[in-house]
Amino acid sequence: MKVYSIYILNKAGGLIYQNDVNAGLNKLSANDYLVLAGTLHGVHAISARLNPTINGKDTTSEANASPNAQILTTGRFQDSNGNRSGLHSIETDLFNLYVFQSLTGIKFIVITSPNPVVYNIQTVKKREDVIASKGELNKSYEEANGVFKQLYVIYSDYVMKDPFYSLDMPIKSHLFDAKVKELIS
Amino acid sequence: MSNEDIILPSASSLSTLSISDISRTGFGYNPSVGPASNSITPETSNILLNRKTITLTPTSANSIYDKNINSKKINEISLSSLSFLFCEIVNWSHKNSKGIQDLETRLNGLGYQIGQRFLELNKLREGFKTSKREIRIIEVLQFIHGTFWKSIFGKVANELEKSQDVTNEYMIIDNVPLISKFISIPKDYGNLNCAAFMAGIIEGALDSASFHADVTAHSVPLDGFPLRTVFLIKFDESLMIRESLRFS
Amino acid sequence: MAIYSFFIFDRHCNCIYNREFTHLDHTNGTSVGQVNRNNDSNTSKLLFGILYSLKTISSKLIDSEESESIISNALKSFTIGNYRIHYLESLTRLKFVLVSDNDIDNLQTVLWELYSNYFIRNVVQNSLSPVEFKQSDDIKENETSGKINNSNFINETDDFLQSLPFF
Repeated sequence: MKVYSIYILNKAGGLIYQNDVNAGLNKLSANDYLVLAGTLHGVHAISARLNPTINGKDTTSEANASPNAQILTTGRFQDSNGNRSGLHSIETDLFNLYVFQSLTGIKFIVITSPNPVVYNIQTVKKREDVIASKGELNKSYEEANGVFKQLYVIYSDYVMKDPFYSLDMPIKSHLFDAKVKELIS
Repeated sequence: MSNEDIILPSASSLSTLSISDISRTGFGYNPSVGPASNSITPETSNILLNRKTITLTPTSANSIYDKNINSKKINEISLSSLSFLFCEIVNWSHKNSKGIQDLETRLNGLGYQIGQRFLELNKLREGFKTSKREIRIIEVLQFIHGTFWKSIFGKVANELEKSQDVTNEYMIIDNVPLISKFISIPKDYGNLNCAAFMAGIIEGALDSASFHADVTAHSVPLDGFPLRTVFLIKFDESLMIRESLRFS
Repeated sequence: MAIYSFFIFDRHCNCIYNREFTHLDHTNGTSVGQVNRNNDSNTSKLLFGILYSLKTISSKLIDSEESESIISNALKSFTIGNYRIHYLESLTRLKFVLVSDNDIDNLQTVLWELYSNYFIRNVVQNSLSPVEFKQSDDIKENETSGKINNSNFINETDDFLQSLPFF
């Protein structure tokens, strides 16, 4: 899995960080990136509305109510990803996109190379093969989650503890840049 | 909307809580339930007995004030809390300052008091039998670079150098200054270095050891150490005379 | 593993076919569900909106040097919560959508089969079935034009989907 780009969105869906770490995607204008971030933010919000009604079964409300309810009893929290019912990932021919949302509403978006096992086979597959590849995309999602966790740590350290950073504004820290580069390589 | 909502806007969210919400919030006083919410149930007693809650009262036996001041044990505090505190200190000083130079002076001044006090504590902890008063410049610098640095920042400073051109200038070099570890200086702030606070600590300590000096912090990044900082210590001319009278 | 529902949108952004499967009993293999009940519901409208936005994003991000056919049909699937939504768009801009659970990676062949085999044979080649489902304004609520009501199509796609091992 090769990471192409990293975006960070603030609570309101504004793009506060954008880094094309590796080439592989089309370069857009600064304005287009803002539109892209806004669209993803909107889609994420719509998805959350769509989710429970797809088969009439409401599975998300309980998961969303207390994502880290066990903190009080066990003293440790399980998952920093507050993204339960929204958009998780997008798979296309040429890239995969993953969304991570912190409990405070910050969205981290990572765009990676596609999973070679699933989509690079152009020939028509047999049904058995489809079953055999079970959960291949779930594995890449887990892998992306690993990146997100480290990214979140770097963000908390080098952005939130910087006195020259004002909340919800674009991130310009060189240290953060350097650490992101270190994480990806 | 009832009157109650207007008078007590905060009560509107609380009133939606019910008895069954205890399990959701864990342990604590639920205003809509009243005293019953603090009753000891198997669940809450479990939390209490296993000490999963944090005592916030400073007079508890765990408080830092209740410990023996002479204790040799290293008391560690969270780097995150320190960073957030320092972040706020920089912000506050910045708000009150007239410029970058002024901001550095203010940070230096805040550090100065810490240096004065910490030298006292440090010497006390060394104990009267083993401790001695440094009277030579090189000795006091080694003390600052070693013992003092270790007890305040948890590690020894990276280098200690003497200026080749000027006789009264010395340099202590730290590759990653602890308090500015997470701070990235924006371009339009010029050569501001938040380690001016640490320079203040050194200056305070040196001054109260009666080695009058001006200490300034300068960023000298190296590959792999973008935060490398040189603390330039410029001793007072009178000290050099004292030194030569005493030891030559 | 399960497939939850199947949508077809035409090029006028209308949902022309909607099949929802309710998995009541996995042991006897029978599934009940609804056909064409939620075509105008918010669910299908939201779903279409998401598809449209994601498709735009994908085509923007993909290197413009790639061939046109790849750009126009780059989006393969996306996940929302516990669902994975699989997507195929024909060159005539008919959109085929399958909603499944997270464990199924790739339903492109199934979508292609639904389009190339069942849709073409039962709708396009069926001279009694309309191919243009544009809804006019004067259609009353209980009238059913604007949807695929062809029973052959419904039965055959149902049989096909239910015969899939991961249904």
